[in-house]
Order: sequence, then structure tokens, then C-alpha cells
Amino acid sequence: MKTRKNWFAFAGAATLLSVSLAGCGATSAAAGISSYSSRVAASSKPHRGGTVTIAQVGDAITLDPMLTTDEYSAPVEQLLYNSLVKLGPKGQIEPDLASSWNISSNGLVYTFHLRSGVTFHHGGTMTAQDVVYSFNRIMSPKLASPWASFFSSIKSVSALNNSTVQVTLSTPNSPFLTVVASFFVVMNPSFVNANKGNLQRVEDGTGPFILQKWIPNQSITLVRNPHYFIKGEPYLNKVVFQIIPSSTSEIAAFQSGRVQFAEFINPADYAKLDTMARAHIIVAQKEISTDYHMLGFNTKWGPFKNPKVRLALSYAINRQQMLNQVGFGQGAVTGLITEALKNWAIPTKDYPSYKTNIAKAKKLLKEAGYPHGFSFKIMAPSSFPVDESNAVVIAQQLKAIGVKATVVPTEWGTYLNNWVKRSFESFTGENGDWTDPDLAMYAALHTGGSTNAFQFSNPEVDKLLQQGRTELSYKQRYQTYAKLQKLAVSQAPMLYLFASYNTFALSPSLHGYTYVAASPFAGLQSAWLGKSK
Amino acid sequence: MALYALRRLVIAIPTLIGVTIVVFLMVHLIPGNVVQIMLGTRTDITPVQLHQLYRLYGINRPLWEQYWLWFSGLVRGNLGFSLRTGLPIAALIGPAFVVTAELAAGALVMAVIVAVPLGIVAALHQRRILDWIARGFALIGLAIPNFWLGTLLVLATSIYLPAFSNFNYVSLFAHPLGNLKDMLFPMVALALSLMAIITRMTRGAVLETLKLDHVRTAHAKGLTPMAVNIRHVLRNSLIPITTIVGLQLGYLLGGAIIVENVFSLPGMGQLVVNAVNQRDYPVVQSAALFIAVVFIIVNLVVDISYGFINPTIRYQ
Repeated sequence: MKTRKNWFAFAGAATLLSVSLAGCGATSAAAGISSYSSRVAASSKPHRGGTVTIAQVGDAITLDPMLTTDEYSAPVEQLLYNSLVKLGPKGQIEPDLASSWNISSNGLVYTFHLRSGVTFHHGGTMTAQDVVYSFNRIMSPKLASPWASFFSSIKSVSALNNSTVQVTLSTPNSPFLTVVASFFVVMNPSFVNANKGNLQRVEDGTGPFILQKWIPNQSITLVRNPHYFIKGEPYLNKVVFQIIPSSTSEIAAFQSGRVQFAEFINPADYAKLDTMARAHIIVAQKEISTDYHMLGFNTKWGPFKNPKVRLALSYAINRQQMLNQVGFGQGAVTGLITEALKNWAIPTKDYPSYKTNIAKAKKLLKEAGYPHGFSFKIMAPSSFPVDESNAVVIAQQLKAIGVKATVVPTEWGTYLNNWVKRSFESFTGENGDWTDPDLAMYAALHTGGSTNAFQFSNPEVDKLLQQGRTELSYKQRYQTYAKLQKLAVSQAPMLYLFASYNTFALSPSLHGYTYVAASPFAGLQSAWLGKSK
Repeated sequence: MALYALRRLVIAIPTLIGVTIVVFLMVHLIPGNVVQIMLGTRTDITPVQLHQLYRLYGINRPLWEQYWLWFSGLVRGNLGFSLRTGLPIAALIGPAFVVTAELAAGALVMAVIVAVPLGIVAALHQRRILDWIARGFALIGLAIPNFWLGTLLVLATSIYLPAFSNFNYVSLFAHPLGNLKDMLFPMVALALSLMAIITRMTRGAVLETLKLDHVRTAHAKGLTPMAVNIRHVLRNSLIPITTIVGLQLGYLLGGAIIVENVFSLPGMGQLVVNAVNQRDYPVVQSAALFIAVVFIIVNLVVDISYGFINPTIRYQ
């Protein structure tokens, strides 16, 4: 029986399309966020020991969380460092290094009460002064942290005593705690100074694991922090990030038992993962991404100046078909905010232009003065297969309304250069919401925003964005962002298409792992290795 | 001959300076830069911050200044530092080159051991069954792309020979056996097409030699066929075989990116491709220069080896 199972997995992995594809795609797309292979009954109790090897496609670039922008450094840092607060599985704010906090009624003063007895990896107890130092570091022009702008609302940070930190803002900033949870970490000042501020290859965090060895382009080994502030955790003795550049080889590594954890983001791999999950070689956990695929317009270029033209294109395309063809049905059609931010996303049936309507699209084009259509180019990043394929499918679909789109596959560096210079007519790519609607959206849609490559400008949108970041109650903010989502879809600076699943593959022997969208790898601190059957 | 080698090395210097200029211009003239790639399309950043980053990475300086900075470092024996990781480039190239060199050498040895005898046998049995088999094998070897063979080997070993499934590269010097176990299949994946090329080359060269007068003479003076084939035929066919082996070695030492990728080997190919994707200019420049130096040395060694194969060749 064993060899037969193995053979199935082999055949599934070797062929790109397996029968499983159609069947599984349909059910999971309907279910939204789902975990499609029920976990092996977690009967075993947590116990210490063992090594978990994580397969990762690329090497970390830096271990300085304040300078990290790449996707391979963050997973390691999530196990090394802590912030004052963290995000829970439902997006709620939870204690981390701060055991509690108060916010003044005007939303300007945040007081954090620190957990006692937290030590850094190389020794020394964490104090309020260290927290103040860390805030100053991320805001310092000398460091030039790419995340500094998120902290620009801070007026002052001070230590009230050894275990209390007070942050004063100049304007109310409702996502502030989310920003702290997502982009801030507490560092040890004497260690930073001893390393002349260069923390690219060294660390002295407070996290559950300690950096032991880093062999560039091969592996990063972390060992258990015996003094971690949560008693008993972590359970694992070692976590190894193993660089395996090809996802086929990653899957093979699960098969041979060399790897116990990995994240897969390419929909083309999902058929193989399904097959392996059914053969109980892995447990696959599918989570909808906070990122969505989109077609962005240059709203200063020709026909795209007219919102009616952009809306016409929104009516003309078929998003579900795109998801099925390009995304193998593994994901969900989305607006400006994906289902991953469950507290904020509104259902896509609220968007009239999401129902394909060729007649309506033609009518809008006619009103805009393009009764016979027009031609334009789509810049598509060739290193991102989903975005490149989306461009091709869009070009195909737009033929129905007489609009001729030419796909220009573009190397990533060149693509970014064009993006920075705003020298494109339209482009496909990914955009995202991170952990709060304000974070990515403000810069992307506000007039003159730094990531507003669309050069989109709409006074109503600007007003709502400003409102959303200063309102304090969740209910008010929800209303504002609901309005904003509808407006962003009808104004269409970009066509939001769909969000894919990120699939986390776990060895069946790995227990106790909890997924948190903001920091999926941090969940390994409470995981342990049991006997796989 | 030492003089010849020395002269060749001196002539190589202008070539290498040319390489530095071409490589430098190529990586700097392609659009995009390290800061843009670091920031991507989603980082909210002010113009002031952007300026700080450009200053930090030194890419706001004029091109000639950046070139001079790198070049003067090279002259002093310093390959520079990676922009993204801050590591000294020599420390990146060293281990990567060891991996690539072992892979290349292993694949080539494997290929030569199989291909040269096979080519000779094919030539000696021209248009008979053994020849057809050898040529069929060569055709298959040329037709199978190494990424496909590599992927199949990875999948097959992970299921049927888990002990041989790698992903955890260990150095040859630290764990010779573990290392050879890990390198075996990548070498096979790389060796197959090499075998094919060398088999065909050997067969052609041996067929040429067999027609020459001295072979007939050797047979006529009563030597055994074995002695004729080894001492008179093979030896005289070695020049073209050495040439092709040398050329292939030169290419392989530049990194076999696809095989390295499939088998997760941290070699030169991976290093350079990642650096290009990151626009990590100094790494690309210094690695390309290093590969050029290796290529020149390999060519020199091949040229010198002609003299051992055929003592009538004189170096001047």
C-alpha cells in the first residue's frame, strides 16, 4: 500500500495537470478560507525536542527587521524578535512584550506596560529604555528604514519608568497598534552599538529562537531560546531554514521526509500539493492572501483619463474565469480588500461592475467617445507567472468590446524602473493590504501618494482615506472603508481581480501550529513534533 | 613553455580590463537598480528617504566614479562587498565556486569515462550494431534537456532512494561521503548531454584517424589491433577531444544554473542569477570577472596540454 501511495504522489508531482485539479479547485473556491485536509487528530501532548526544517525558495537578505522588505528575511525574523503587541488569528491586537496598554481618549497617548523578566538572547534584561531606543532607531534618518513613514505620526517616545513606555502622537492614527505589531521590534541598544548599527547578519532579539548559524544561500539554523518569556515554549530544539530554489524539489523534500514546513504561493503547485495531502504525506493549510492581483491604469494616459473607460473595462472582463484559468480556481475574486482582512472586506456582490456585462461596457465606451474601442499596452512582469498570464487573459477578454490590448512581458528590474517613472499605459501586478486597510491603501490611492503609480486623484477618495486613519471606533472606520471600497471599484484606478491562496504544507508529525496572516512563521513557537502514523 | 604561459597571462590582462568595462556597463545600463528592487511597488517612502537610500548604496554617484571605486579595489585585491547583504564578495564566490567546480569536474570525468570508450567502439564498428547503439545513446543524451532529467531524478530519488535525496549541501572537505552522495545525481544530470557530445566528437575524430597512413603501417608491422587502437589511433584523436572537453569545462565552471536550481546547490550560477535579479552590481561584476579569469586559465591549460599529447607541437 505504501508504494502505491508513493507512486500516486510521484505521478501527481511529475505531471502538471492531474485529475484532482478540477474537483478540488471548485470546492475550495466556494468555501473561501478553508483547510482542506483535516488534521491528524492532535491527540499528542506538547513535548520538547526535535528539529523542524523549513523549505524556502530564497535566502534571507538581512536579519534587521527594520530594513527588511523581502519575503525571505521576514520568516526568520518572526522567530527572532518581538514587538510590543502582536496580531492574533482574527486580526485582533494581543500582548507581546507589553502585557497591557492604554490609549488616551483623544487617541494621542499610548501607554505600554512591559512584561517583566524578558531577556535578550545574548543576556541582559529588556527595559523601557530599550523600547524607546528601538522607536528612535526605526525613525532615524541615518538608518533610512523603508518603514519609517508609518511611524511619522509619532511626536515623542519616553520611558516613564523601567517598565512603562509612553508614545505620544501628533495626530490620531487609528492603525497605530497594527503598525507597531507589524513593523516594530525591540532591540538591545548595547548590542546594536557594539555592531556599529549593522544588524544584517547578527541578532540579539527576545524571540523564541536564537540564530546559531547562517550559511549564505544554503541554510539558516536557529536554536531554542531557553529563557523565552512564555514558560515551556518553544517546544522545538531547532528550526532550520533550508534554501530549496525549485518548488518541485521542495515537494520532493517533503516526500523524502527532509522537510516539515513550507509555504507555497504558486497556484501551479497546488495540484501536486492536493495529491500529496490525499496521500497523507503532508497536511495542507490553505489561507487566502492579503495580496490581490490587479490591472493598474495610468490615469494620466489617453483613454484611461476617463473613469468611464476604466469602468467599461471592469464590466468587460470576467474575473471568475480569470481565477479559474490563471489561478487554477485556487483563490477568490476580490475588491480592494481581500477576505484575509475579514473585519474589513465587503462582499464582491456589492460591486455592480463585477458581473460581466458586455453591452454596458460598450455603452460606457461610447459615452466616453470610444465607440470603436482603442489599443493599449499592458506591462506584465515576466518573473511572476500569474500576473503575466492575467495580462494575456485580459487582452483576450477585451476583444469582445473592440479594445485591443498588447501584452509586453517585462523583466522585474525594468518593470520597477518603469513603475517608478510612471512610464506605462497599464500594468498587471500584485498589490496588498498588509494588516490594516490604511497601511497600503493610503499611499496607493491618495493624491500624490508614493505608491500611487496610477497617478490617480479623486477628492472624495482622499477625504475618506484621511477619515479612515483618524477615526477611532471600529464601527465608524468600517463604514468609511466600506464606502471607500465601493468608490475605489467604481472609479477603478486599477481593476482588482482575485486573491490567491497561500498554501502551507506541514508534515503530519507537526502539531500545534496556528496560522496568523500577519506572521505565519511565528506560529512555529508553539508547535511540536509528535509521532506521525 | 613557462615563458609561453607567462606571455599568455600577460596578454590576458587587457582582455580582463575589457571584461571589467563591458560587465560594468552592462549591469549598470539595464534599467532598474538595487534600491528600486528593495522597495518594490508597495513601500511608502518620502523623496527624502529615497535620496538617503540612494546615498547609502552609493548609486547616485556618476558611473565613472562607481567604476573607479570598484576597479581600484580590484587592483588592490579587494573584490568589494555585496550591496544587499554587506558580505565580502570573495566570501560569496569562494564556497560557490567550490560547489560549481566539483559539479563540473565530476560531470566531466563521468562523461569522459563513458563517452571516450563508447566513441572509440562506435568508430571501430562503424555502421554496425554497436555503432548504432552508441549513436542512439548520443542522440537521446542530446535530446533530453537537463532540467527535465534533473527534475525526474529529484522526484525519483525522493521516493525510491530517500538516502540519496539531497537539499542539504555539505562541503566535500567536511563530509566527503555525504557530499559525494549529494552530488552524484546532479553530476549525472549534467553529464548526460556532455557524454553525448563527447561520444560523437570521439567517434568522428577516431574515424578520421583510422583512415591515416600511419595506422595502416602500424597494422602492417604486425601490432595487435589493441595496441594500434590505443597507441596510434586514440592518441592521435585526442586533440579535438581535448579541445571540446576544455571548452565545456570553461562553460560549466561559469555555473550550471538550471541543475543547481533543481538540486538546490549553492553554486556560481545561483549566485550570479540572484545578484542580477537583485541588481547587486558589485557581486555581478566581480563574479563575472572571476568567471572570465577561470575561462582564460582553462583555455591556457588546454593549449599547453596539446604539447603533451602531440610533442611535435612547439610553443613560441
